[in-house]
Amino acid sequence: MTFSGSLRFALRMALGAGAVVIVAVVAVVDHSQRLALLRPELITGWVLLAAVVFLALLNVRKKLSMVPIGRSSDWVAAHVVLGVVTIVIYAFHARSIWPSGYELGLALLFYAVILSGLFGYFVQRTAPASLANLGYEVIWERIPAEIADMRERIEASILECARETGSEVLPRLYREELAWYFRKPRFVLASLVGTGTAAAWVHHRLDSVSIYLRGKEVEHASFLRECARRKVHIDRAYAIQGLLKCWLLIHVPATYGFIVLVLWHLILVHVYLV
Amino acid sequence: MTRLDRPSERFRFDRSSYERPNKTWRCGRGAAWGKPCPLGPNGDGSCGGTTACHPHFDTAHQRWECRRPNSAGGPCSEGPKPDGTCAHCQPPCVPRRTLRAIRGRLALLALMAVFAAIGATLIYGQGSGDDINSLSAGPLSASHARFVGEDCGTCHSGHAEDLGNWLGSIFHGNDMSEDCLTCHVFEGEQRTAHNFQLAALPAGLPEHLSTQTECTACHVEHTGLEGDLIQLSDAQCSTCHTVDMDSFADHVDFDLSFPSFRRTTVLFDHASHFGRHFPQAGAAAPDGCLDCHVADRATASVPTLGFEETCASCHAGDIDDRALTVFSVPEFSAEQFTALDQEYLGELCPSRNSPQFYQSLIAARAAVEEGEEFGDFESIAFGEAIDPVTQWAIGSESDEIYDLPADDPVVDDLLWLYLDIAESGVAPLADLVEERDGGSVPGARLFAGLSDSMVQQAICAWTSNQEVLQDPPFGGGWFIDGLSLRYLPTGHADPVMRAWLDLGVAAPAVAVEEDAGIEEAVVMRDTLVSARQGPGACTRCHGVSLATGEPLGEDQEVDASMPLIVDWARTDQPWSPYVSYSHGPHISLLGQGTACTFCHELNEGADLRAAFETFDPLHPASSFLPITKAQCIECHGGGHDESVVVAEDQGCLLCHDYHLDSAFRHQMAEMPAKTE
Repeated sequence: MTFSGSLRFALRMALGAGAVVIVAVVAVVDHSQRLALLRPELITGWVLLAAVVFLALLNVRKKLSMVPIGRSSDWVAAHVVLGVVTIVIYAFHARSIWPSGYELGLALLFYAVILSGLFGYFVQRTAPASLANLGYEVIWERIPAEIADMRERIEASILECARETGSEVLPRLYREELAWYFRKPRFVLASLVGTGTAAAWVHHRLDSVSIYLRGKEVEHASFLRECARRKVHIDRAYAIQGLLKCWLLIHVPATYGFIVLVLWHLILVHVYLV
Repeated sequence: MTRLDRPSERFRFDRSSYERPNKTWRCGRGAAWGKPCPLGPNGDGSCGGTTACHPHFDTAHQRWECRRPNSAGGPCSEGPKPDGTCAHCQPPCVPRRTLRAIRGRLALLALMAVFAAIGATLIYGQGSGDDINSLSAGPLSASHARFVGEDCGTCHSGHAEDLGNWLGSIFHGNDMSEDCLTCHVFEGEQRTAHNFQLAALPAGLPEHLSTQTECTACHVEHTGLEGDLIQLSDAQCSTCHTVDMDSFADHVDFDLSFPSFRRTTVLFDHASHFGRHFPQAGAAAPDGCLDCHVADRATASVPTLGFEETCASCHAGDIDDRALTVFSVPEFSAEQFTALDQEYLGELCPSRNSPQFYQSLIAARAAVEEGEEFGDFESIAFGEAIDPVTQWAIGSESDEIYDLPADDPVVDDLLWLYLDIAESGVAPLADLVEERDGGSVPGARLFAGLSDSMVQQAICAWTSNQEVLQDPPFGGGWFIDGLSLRYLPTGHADPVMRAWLDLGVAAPAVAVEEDAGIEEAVVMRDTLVSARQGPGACTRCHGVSLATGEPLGEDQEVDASMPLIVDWARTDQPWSPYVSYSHGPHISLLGQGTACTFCHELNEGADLRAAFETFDPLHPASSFLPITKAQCIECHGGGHDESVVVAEDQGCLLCHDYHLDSAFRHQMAEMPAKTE
């Protein structure tokens, strides 16, 4: 293991140990405060707020990539570990899975943030391996261009086929069925799961006309099969990368709403309770 | 033949544009899965791809140059038009937001939604009491909702109408317990645990006992009309009381004298009465407990019926059988007798001109002239001793005074008292007793019902060396019994008798304070409170206790300096103020009068009299055996007696109270003035 690898491993261990210490301290404080008939919610609440603020700083760190305040991967690791710790602190603080009143909204937003975060962590841990296994790399933003380019080439091939052979078999097949498939990403859910639905769909249609193909038509049909294979990869890349991006559509907005409601909660507590 | 490029070729730097996901807009054609134009949208969201390039005017050659990027095929062969516009035009697209921009919009939407919800709460939800109202923690309990209504400021001092003050209250603090105490008040300290009086606590107790408690630590409001603010869980008690109890069977054992922590104020030996006296009493004996005890009014103690309904059938005669002697005539010597102002007495007592008086007077004067103590003079009180009350009242150290000279202060005062009584009646006698007693018992109480004429008649007779014989009045009262002024009790709780016993038990302490007549006061007290011979037989049943209410120390005995009182009234057992018990539910459940012995077992060997002779009211004694935890467990947790109903409720609050007596402050009762 290299020095930087050892350092990173030590940092991860320190993060885990720190999380255990934080949870233990919060548990002891909560228990002792409860024994003294005091309000541990005040202490756990402030700790929770501090944790949430630190978690939210990850977004700032992303925007300040030029400032040397630690590696982004370390920040993400700390974000994940502290996020899990936050679940425990929240449990100490709220003592209710389903509170009443406006605190239900607070709880729902917290659950949305936590669940989307856990889902995002799961996706980020598993999706790269799936993409690597795909054997085909494409940037998510370039997928429309990739599909458009493919469609252009397919249509050129079909025209060339019609011109050379005078047969309508492939042009008709493309116009009536395959054009739908090559229009944009299809079978997204199946692609995400990794079933061979899309490939089977395309090959079934090409196979159904293969006995009518002659001469040059067979070469153009082979090109269509090659395009279909790549389209399957593109669709799967689109689905997986889309998942990698779309969980943030819940995580980030829910976090903003949660923080605002937390501040409102803080005000109410200090006006009416403390 | 058309071929597919490898992605590395297709998106080479010179064959495709650079992707910038951080931008807000993306090409509308690409978003519709068409071929995105290389220039992409403008920063303001308009289409930037209506032309293939933006031609550049080359000033050196004075012509327009095509600037189509290599990714789009490089400079076109047609080149720009003369006016500098691109020759390759296409219709504009409708650019779409990037995913990042959509995320930003959703975040903004979430913020606005939360702010809108908070705003709606402030504008429309204030005071509505709905769950959705963030200013409402939920509906109040019925007891508070009834008078607080929707005025949050009653309890939350930070709840102000003005937004600035409302926000400012974040930094002012909100002592809710103090707000509670504006209406609620408790005995003892208001904010200590269990309202402990800190000054009364012994030193060395845990520090947390002096910690200020918060009402909200136990009482949780906003639980709705059905919410019970008083009902607490055992877990809340266990936060401090850490004895591990799963059921009442784990409760600490009761005190060995429970529930009789002190002797009763009235000596009634249940064991001897049930064992010996009631079998002999026949029809007068009670049939059971409820013949004497009132179960209907039973709380922690079960009150008894009065003397007339219970004891009188057997013991009424004991009272009017013992008269009290208040004043008796001492035996005078001849000198003392002649020292009386007979001339003045003659004016006050016109009917004393009897031969016996003149014979006594002549004999006394002759004896004085001859220097003899008595001579032929014979006092009517010859051989009689002064009663203890008179001896204490006149301050005589002996129960005889004939051997004192006539100018001795005791004799002189007594002779003057005779004259005063003959002149004024009862008042001088009452004044004398009040003076000796220090005024602790008014003379009017002591001599209530005694007429001036009766006492004047007695004095006139006694000063003329004669007796007065009266029969005791029927039904009790004052009478002259030969040489004594006596009082026969009219019945139970006779006020005059009570007054004299109160005087008797208080007198020694007064004497010690004045350092005079201590021995006489003690003798008088012992005579009056004698259970066997005392007047009215009061102390045969009523206890005599130290007035301080403090327990006697080990090997400590009562001395004259300790004021005593007679226990006229019933006193309940000094239970802990944090323990509550009611006989009512138990009697209702077990049946009136049928199950008393379930808990109260007679103690045949109890010596109650010994407990009363110590004058220590806190001496534990009872004619019943102590009640043990095991008896409670029979019904409350872990019992095995299937013949009784098992009570499931074993919570702490079943028997214990947290606060000392609670009440509402006066302002709670103030009603708003009615408007006309």
